[in-house]
Amino acid sequence: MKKLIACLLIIVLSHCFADAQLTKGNWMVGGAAGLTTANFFRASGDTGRSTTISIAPSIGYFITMRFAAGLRFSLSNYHYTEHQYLTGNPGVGNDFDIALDPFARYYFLKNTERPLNVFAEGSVGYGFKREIGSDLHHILNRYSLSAGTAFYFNNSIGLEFILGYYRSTQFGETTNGFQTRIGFQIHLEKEKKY
Amino acid sequence: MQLGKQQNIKTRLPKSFPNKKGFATFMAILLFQTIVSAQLEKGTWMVGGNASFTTADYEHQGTNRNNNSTLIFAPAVGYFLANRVALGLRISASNHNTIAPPGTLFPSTSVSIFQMLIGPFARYYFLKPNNRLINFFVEADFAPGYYKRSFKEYYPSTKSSISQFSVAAGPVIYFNSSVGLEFTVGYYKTNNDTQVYQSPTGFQAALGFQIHLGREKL
Repeated sequence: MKKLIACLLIIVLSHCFADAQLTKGNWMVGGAAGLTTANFFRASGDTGRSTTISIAPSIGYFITMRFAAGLRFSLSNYHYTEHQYLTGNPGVGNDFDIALDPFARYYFLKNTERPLNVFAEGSVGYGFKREIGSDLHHILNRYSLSAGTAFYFNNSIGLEFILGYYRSTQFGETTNGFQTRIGFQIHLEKEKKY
Repeated sequence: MQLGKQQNIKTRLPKSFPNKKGFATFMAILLFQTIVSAQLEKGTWMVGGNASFTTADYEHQGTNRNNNSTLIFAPAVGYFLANRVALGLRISASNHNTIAPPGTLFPSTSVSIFQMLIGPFARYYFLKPNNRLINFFVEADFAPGYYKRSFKEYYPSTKSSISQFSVAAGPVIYFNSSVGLEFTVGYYKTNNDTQVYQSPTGFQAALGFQIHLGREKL
């Protein structure tokens, strides 16, 4: 087992480096989507059923060498029905939000078979949200500034470490804070013309 | 592609991509033209997951500030013990902490919720990766874990052992030899020993990326 772990670390850190695809015309993709149903039981005796849908793709395009612009889209909907044990009353609710976040990212180091790179990113988001028990739509505005490093496993996959600041406003409430994130970024190379 | 042989294959995309055709062409490329070998051979690794830490200060009309912090750690790693058969480990851990002004978060000014699930998974791919664009797999996992909710003052902590079992299946479409886009549909069931924790059971569909890392050839 130790050998396997050591082999993995060696692969990740030393051997599988390749050109990062930061050239004009390449794409970055990421994101996830899910649909989950749940029959739930609470300690209070309430029982119910919920359905959650979430869609969060992102796509970016290298407009020039090392500079990419793209869109992040997020949509989620949570719907539940329940039977309250103490009161015997049924309950139903829905929580929906949707947002679009254009972003721009710049990589500082030139693409010379480096195993890592450093980047800065900014995004501005706009959307709206409707909470459970409310018929009002609330406008969401947000922006973020972040920077990070990317370690490349090969010419398609980078592992990113990101640190950033964000600020959002909705319902007359302001939220701000810091965020760190580790995740994979996928680069798709355009075909080379021969 | 011969099983057991590593290949370094680059994504094959049409010459017009991506400047002229836009997103429709991009999707068509992903779905129909990027045929490369998937790395399902013995000795290959699968990796995935994410981690994040977020703080949030809430302010409403200049008053009533809350402070939240959320830590999420959810890595997954798998290893192909044989061709098309992978065994791995998933961790899903989170800690959420809320601090509020006195009187707004009765009975305490601070509440913390910690949850961790860690367990093995096994996955089997049905088709041999002979330059296929698409494959199908079935997967099962079991993860025992722990749940704890604690208040800073006045109130006893709530602790529970939890576990989750799931089975899922679906197709995977390969962009290149390293990246696959997975569609899964499955069933999951969560249990706990004290019923203080909500125990959902249901169906789950997911769409996401899976990353394959080939072992180095010596």
